[in-house]
Amino acid sequence: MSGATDARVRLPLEPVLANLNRDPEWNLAARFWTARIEFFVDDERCLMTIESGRAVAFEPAASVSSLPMLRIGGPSASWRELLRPVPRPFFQDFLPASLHHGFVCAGDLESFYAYYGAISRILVAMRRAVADQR
Amino acid sequence: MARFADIKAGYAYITVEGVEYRLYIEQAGSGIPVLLQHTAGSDGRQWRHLLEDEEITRHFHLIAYDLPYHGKSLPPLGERYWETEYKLTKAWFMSFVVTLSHELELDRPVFMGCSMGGHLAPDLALDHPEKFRAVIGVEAAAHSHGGDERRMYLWHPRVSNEAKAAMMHTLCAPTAPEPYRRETIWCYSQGAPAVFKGDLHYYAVEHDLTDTARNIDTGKVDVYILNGDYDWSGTVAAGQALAAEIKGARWTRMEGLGHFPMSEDPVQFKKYLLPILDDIRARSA
Repeated sequence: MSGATDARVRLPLEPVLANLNRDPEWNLAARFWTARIEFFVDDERCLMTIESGRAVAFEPAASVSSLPMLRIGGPSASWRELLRPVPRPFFQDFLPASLHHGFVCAGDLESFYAYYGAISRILVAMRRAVADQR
Repeated sequence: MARFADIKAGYAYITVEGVEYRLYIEQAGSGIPVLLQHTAGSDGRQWRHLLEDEEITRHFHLIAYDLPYHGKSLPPLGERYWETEYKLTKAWFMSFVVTLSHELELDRPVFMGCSMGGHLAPDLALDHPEKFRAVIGVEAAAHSHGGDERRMYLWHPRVSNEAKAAMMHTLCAPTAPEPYRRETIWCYSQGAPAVFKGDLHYYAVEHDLTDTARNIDTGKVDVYILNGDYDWSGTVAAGQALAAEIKGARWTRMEGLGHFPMSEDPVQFKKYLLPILDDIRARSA
């Protein structure tokens, strides 16, 4: 992620993927899950592919064609707040950010809620990857 | 030898609106009685830190109960509850607390509740001011309408109880100690499937003091409202707005705390609670 406050946030895809699959809580929370989640920052889209509870790919969406099950994202300014080690109120997770800061969590809401524990771990993996870049 | 907490625990049989309930209650301390109401979908374990805090139990008789259908308070034997969708109503909830206080022979207790308990605090102050010396609404608001779609997934055959825990984690402050956050949401993973959503019928549908909060008479009952920064449901703004409607109410912003301050970060919560308890003691003298 860029350190400049007005720069576009870029999600560190490979470190996020590695962090996620090393996370014991993710490995429990994502069990049996097969899904495609589009994460977008401004107009830039990335697709995470999850197969049977393992995150197998996280890549720019332009290189793949499958429709996502879930879409999660928002402007760089929101991502910058979400990715802080200690976020401001209502940026502590995707759900409150969607309720109070206009962040988008859309798509198959049954999966969204059923696997919210796993989805939260993706944000944790992102925060760790961004912190490691600093 | 095992170390025992200085808590008395047991079951009381009380009848509310013609139905007998077997109620699990934990009590500690002596002095001014304080009824402790847990949040929706959880149980009285949330108050365990207060119950073991001698600085508080020295002057206060704390009474934490599991509402029927919650924790160790089973559903009543006399009801065919398996044929009816569980829904907590405002009328029953208030009747339950007033009856419990009467049956325990408490002398104008303090009522302290969090979340749905926080909402009940000003509801009791409005409808039963003579029965309580003070109410403390933790994470209270005039109303919490909305979120109908989200509530649907709180009782859904393909969404397990661990989803409730995960969602409740988002209400905790990220700065709260992780073991306490995890313990708080653990309790959410243990409720009967229909109960959390049913409790929210009171919390999100029936509770609404928008037009009546101003009628609460703090000359009869003291009202304290507290809200934590990270609570996205009973927000700081909502709690402050409620307190502003109640002449004489005292409002406290809890910096860096979330929706479950007594269980997610009891040390920080105590800093905000003690001045209120001191105030109640002084006014009760």
